[in-house]
Amino acid sequence: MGHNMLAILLLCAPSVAFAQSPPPKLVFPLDCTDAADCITVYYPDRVQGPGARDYMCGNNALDGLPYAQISIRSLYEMDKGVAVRAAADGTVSGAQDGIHDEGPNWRAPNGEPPPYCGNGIEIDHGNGWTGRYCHLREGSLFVQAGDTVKAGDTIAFAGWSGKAELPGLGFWLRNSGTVIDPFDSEDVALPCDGEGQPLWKDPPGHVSRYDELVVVDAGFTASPQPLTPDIIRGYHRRKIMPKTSPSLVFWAMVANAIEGEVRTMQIVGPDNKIIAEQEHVERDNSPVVLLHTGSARPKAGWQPGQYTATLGIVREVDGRKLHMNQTYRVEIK
Amino acid sequence: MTRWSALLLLLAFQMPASYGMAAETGADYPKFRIPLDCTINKDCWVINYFDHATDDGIVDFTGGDNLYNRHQGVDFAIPNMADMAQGVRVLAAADGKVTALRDHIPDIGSVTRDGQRIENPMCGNAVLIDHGNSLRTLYCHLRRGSISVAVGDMVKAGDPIGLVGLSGFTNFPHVHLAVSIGEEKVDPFVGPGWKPGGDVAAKPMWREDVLESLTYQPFVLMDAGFTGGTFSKHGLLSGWFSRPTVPSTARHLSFSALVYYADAGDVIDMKILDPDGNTVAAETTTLTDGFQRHWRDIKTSRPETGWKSGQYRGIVVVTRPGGGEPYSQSLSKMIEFGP
Repeated sequence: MGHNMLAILLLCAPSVAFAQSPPPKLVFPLDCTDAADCITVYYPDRVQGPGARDYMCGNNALDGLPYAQISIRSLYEMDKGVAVRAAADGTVSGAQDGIHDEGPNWRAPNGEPPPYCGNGIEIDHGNGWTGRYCHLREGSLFVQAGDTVKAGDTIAFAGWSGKAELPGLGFWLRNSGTVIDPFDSEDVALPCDGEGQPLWKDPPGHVSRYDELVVVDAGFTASPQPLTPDIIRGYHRRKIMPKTSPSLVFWAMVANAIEGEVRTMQIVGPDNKIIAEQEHVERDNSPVVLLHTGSARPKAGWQPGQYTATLGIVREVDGRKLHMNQTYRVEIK
Repeated sequence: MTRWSALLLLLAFQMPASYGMAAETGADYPKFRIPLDCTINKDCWVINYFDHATDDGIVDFTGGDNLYNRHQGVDFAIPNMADMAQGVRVLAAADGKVTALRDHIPDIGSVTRDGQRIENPMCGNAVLIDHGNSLRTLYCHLRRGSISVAVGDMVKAGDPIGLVGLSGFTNFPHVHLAVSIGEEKVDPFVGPGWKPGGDVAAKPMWREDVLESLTYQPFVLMDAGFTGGTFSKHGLLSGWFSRPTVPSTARHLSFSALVYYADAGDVIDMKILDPDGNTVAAETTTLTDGFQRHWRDIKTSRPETGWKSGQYRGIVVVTRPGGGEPYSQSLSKMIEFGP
């Protein structure tokens, strides 16, 4: 499984969607109700050839990646265990385990990078429909080849194995070799048209809502320089900070940044004075970017009360200007 | 980077030798509180006591072997990495002034899962507090980016200074507390000048109430848990097996435990009881070797009729026979099968 299969699948020229059978209604394959909010960071790429667009013609897709990556906030949620569910009834046709949850940085004893899917399960959902569940947590596979599963059964936990930018689940749906985008029920070979009926049955609210600008997470810390690996570990998410904190820093992790996009960050104190302000202009296209701004503790210490941070993004996709402004709060006491 | 420059003086677990004179005996030192926001022997434990051996051997202040060679401090451990990610606060042991800190070492320990050494300053991220009269405390292995004080800050006993981490020479989340008076490294369980068999009386440096909770542990049964997947040491250390439910799709139920400083002759008793109280898995082992860390797991398979509803219980008991009364520790965990 993994690499070779991926190569073969990519070579299979997609044909007409649903030639074989009508689409099943699917259970959303990640348990988004509890520990983690599921954030769909990458939708299946709907551009044949270079470039990447999702089913809504937004840029939340990775070039050449035909499946969805649904992220969980951090490895802390992963450690707690976020259930991966069978999207429909079926029979397990393959499973692979044994890859550490170290994302794309993991190396096999022979120095090889991980297979794309990492730890994975493939389920034959009948009538030509196949689901592949990728990036699962090492040692968390509850089913094996030959097992029958019911829609909604927990088959594993979300993890960070394989080539995933962030911990979560990779979900890949096929119908007799044709890759289907579960978010709009169409063959991924068809270009985006800005609309679509998802295959999900009762998806959680934030899954059915499409966000043009994806903020993976944002938070506050006393550290002057929060780093990406630590954000992924689950650090730097303080709700309350002591008056003595040496710094007050606001960070945000933004997905699918585009060269030239403008991001503004600002922190306002309890007295409505601006204590930090910054503008970034992106110099690159980047799947995940960590931004931060902040200030060192004033001589007299922090004034207790609520501090409000604002993140603004202006991004242009195919001539459309996308805007976002979001606020976050932390208390100092 | 000037923030870190003061730390350049801190080599490994060594204290900077800025005080030339020997400790004044009889000085009035403040008594220490526990340097973590936790309850001893419930969600944190002392392991790795101070090494008093003058040769290459190891001996802690009781004559026991819960330590490793040349360990000149006391380790306060938390059960697993999930607790660490949630954040366990490190607290100043007594009033004092922050004189140095370091906060940029990643929380990756000193060895990879594949056994490769990672070179970093041994103490990792750290805070050094001066309590006056040449008495200082050093807190090692803190979480990167977690230090919440600055050099020059005055702190009170119990003030948070950072979070428990996995930076430097470590392979489990804990804080190494190193106490020094002048150039003497001091075991806080016995105070300055004490030597095994010597004539200096032990003067513990802990507060009375703290001393009561710090009853000596010859070994520590630290964590136990269930998984419906595959047992691994990494999984138990990561907190993966602390979930209150296991999916009913699981074919097996595995119960595992972690013991620090198990000795040859120790007896480890493990069992899994189903909701009706029937024993569905059991193992009794007498160790033939000693281990700094020892993991054990037992498992049971899903019955033909499926898992029962209600709570399964895992019990682990570790007993050290010894000359007089056998000493034992036990842990009990509950689990339920769910969606």
